[in-house]
Amino acid sequence: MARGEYLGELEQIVLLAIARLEGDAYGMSIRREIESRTGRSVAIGAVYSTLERLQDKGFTEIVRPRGNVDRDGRARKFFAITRAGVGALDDAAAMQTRMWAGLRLRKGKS
Amino acid sequence: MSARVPRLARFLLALLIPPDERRAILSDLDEEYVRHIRPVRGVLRARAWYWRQVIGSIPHAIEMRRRRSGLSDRLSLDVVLALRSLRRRPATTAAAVLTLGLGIGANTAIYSVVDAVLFRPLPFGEPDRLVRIWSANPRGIQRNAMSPPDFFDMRDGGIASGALTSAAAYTMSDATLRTGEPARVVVATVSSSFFETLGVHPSTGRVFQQADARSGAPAVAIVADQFWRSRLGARAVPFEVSVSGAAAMVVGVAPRGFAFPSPEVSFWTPLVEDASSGPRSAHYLDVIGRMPDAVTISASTAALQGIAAQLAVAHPESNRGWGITAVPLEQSLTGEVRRPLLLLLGAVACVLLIACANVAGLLLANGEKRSREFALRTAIGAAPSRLIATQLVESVLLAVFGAGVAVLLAYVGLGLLARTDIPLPRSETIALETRVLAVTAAIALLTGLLAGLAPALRASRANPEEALKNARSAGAGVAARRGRTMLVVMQIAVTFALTISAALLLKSYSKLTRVDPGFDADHVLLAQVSLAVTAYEPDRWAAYVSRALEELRTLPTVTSVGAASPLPLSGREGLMRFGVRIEGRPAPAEGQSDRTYLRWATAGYFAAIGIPVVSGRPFEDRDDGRAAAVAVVDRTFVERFFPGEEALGRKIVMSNERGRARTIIGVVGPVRQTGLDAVADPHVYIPHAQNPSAAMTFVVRSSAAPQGLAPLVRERLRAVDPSQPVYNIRTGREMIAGTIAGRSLNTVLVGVFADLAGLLTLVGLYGLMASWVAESKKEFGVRLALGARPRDVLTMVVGRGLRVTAVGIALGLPLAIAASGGLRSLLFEVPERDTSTYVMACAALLFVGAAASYLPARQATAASPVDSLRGE
Repeated sequence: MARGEYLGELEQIVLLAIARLEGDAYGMSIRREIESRTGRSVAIGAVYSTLERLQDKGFTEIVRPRGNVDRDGRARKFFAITRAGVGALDDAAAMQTRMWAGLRLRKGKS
Repeated sequence: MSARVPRLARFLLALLIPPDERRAILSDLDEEYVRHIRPVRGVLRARAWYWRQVIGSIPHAIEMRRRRSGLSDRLSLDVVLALRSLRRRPATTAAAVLTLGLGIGANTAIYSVVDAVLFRPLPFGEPDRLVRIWSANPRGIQRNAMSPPDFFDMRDGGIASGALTSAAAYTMSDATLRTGEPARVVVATVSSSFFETLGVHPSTGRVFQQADARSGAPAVAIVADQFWRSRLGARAVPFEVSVSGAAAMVVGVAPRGFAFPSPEVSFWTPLVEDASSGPRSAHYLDVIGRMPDAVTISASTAALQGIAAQLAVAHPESNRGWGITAVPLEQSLTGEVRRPLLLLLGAVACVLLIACANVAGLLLANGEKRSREFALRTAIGAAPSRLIATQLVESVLLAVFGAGVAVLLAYVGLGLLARTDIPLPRSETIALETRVLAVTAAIALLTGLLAGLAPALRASRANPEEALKNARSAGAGVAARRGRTMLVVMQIAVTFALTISAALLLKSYSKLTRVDPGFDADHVLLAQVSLAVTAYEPDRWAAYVSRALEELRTLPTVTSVGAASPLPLSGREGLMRFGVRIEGRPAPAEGQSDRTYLRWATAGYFAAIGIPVVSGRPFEDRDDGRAAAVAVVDRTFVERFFPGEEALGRKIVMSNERGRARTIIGVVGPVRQTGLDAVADPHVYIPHAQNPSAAMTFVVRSSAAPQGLAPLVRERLRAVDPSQPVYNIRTGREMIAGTIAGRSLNTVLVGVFADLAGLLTLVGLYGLMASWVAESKKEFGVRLALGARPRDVLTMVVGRGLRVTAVGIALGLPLAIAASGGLRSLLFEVPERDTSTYVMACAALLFVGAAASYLPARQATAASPVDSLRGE
């Protein structure tokens, strides 16, 4: 993977959603997955825009469409994580873990 | 499936997403909405969800676009800088965006109407080759309908001579659909070549063939797409319907949006074409033709004229003196509305121009304040082109935001327009569609560049030395103000022309509403029936009408009841002209006879509609089929045919009544038929019972408000015959309002635009005066210190404002004269150079000028001499 390519928050979440959907990941299913897991409503445009960016960075790839078609009868684009994408997720998680290690935040004054 | 998706939201998003991802995103969104969101959350919350999705997606859609365009870094830097600078001045930005939004929005709305009605090609194959053909009658009526035998000869001769490749005829009538709930439908009876001539193919099924037009052929029909879907459940063709008591097989569905000759048409049925299709004197067909590619309309007309001449020789008794008129179909459809619409377009263009000038003035004033910023940038090495770019990007951005506001305004405006009942041809196709939005975008871009031009040039001339020296540079200020003064003068000139136009239209409109229509429309309720279309035979029409009248007479508050056809002011539809011969006078040659309008009326009609009986008596119940044949004529008829003679007791013969002589028993007042602005034509009334007509309108006069009677009237008529559809129930006032709806809309819109222009000009002038006063505060202070009275200063400032206004008016005068010349044909009894209107408009603008300068003048008088001396 290209060193120095950090993942934005939404990029991470989208990548994780793709991983969870295991081959059933396309625009709206990703949006729904994020919403149902995080309770956060994401605009469809944000998902597509992020997918585009991830693909530019080489973290995702389009897999051969299966039988599933959209309303206009076109085959849907399905996404899968590339090895570089898995690496980027690992890096991100590792970075977070290191930053959290041993840290306990006091809740209180805001 | 996507029918219930919020359309405006979807449209906005579609506009912003890059084309390669558009379908993927939209279909994802629609599918989610229809399958998962709406069923769970309900329509209202689902729509809110959809809107949130769209609004949330907008920044991302823009980012996707930016990624694709590879927009140059410099330009994006300019955009970022401009956005920042706009955000720093929220008040100026909001004022400019709103001003441009109003101007562009009004243009978008009017342009979308004009585009749909005038500019978009007709939805037919090669529409420019289509012509509308009329018979031209010997009495000078150029656009007369054609008789079937004439049409067949004209078509065959025209094709043989190469003047036409095909021709078609059509006529419209009412019918009752008996499939399902009985309903009145409009049927167009068309010749078999109708669809081919128009170059239109059915979306399903087939068009008519020659075999369908033979007499005795099985009845077939083609159905309108909208009607087929909404009323017939989009059944698979062929299927059978029952129209006016006869079964017909629907063999095809017209393409969606096909609405010729009228959007009212639900069915097209074939015209029976055989040699004996009626007399040549029965003119009732409308005719269109398609010309071959190489033939001009004048060549084609000349060839058809030749055929008319041959027919006149072959059938002198019916065709002598008859000719042909041919006009491009497009022109014949939109001829009457062309001028009013272009007028509106001109008026909104003026508003935009003024808005543009205002924003330019605003930016100039701002540039003044920013001159130090520009000077500083020049001093540290910015090229003039960079400064121009900054200013232009800023004004274009303002225009882009303005265009956003404009689209919303136009959307709302068109919604309102759709609710008004304006008679516009092709109005069913009016929409904010891509073409219109492309024009809006172009206008916005142009507006942005135009408004930014003057400030940009100013910025590029920023003089670092002058500006950075603390003192405000006097020379540059004067140049900028001269530019702004010119802008304001131009605004005043344009506003003056617009005000004159609006005032002339308003005056003409108010005269029109005061025309006496010849009857009393107050307290009258109207209800229409069409009897031919039920299973009724003609001999039962009279019986139905008299039973219905008896029923209606017993309603509470009803003072009189009658029925007639056609009603006054109902336009040309259903209006028939026949030759009239006066007994005891030599018969004029056939085809040259005097013609008069014929109306059917029952006993009680004149009293019910309020037409005064001048002499003799109105129809009574005894004037039935067994009694002596009688007629009532109107005063115009008497003036035309019996000048200085007694008309009562004379006998007349109408050409449609096979020599039956009618005795004139009464004379009534004249009524306006085609419109309040049309001259009165002679009319003959005959008793409905003596020669029944199928289409009748019941007229119910009540001592109370007539609206309340509508359900009762419907109920009573239903009681007489439940299968008889009753339609078009309305009050007499509504009928009159309907005939001038087009004019009133035009007048209101031009008035609104003139007011808008006046308001923008007021703001522009105010801005100019205020900044002048602010800059010259020191001078006023000195004047006051030297003993000038506050009133002198006030007079000086207001006087200056009035001088600017006067120059604007002087420059606007030729503009106004040109504009009112263009209005000539739209004015009713108002001269185009109406002096009082001009005087009033001058006064109004001078008032605006004074009002705009008053507040700055008050500020000038408050200038303190001490302050101005200390400032040195």
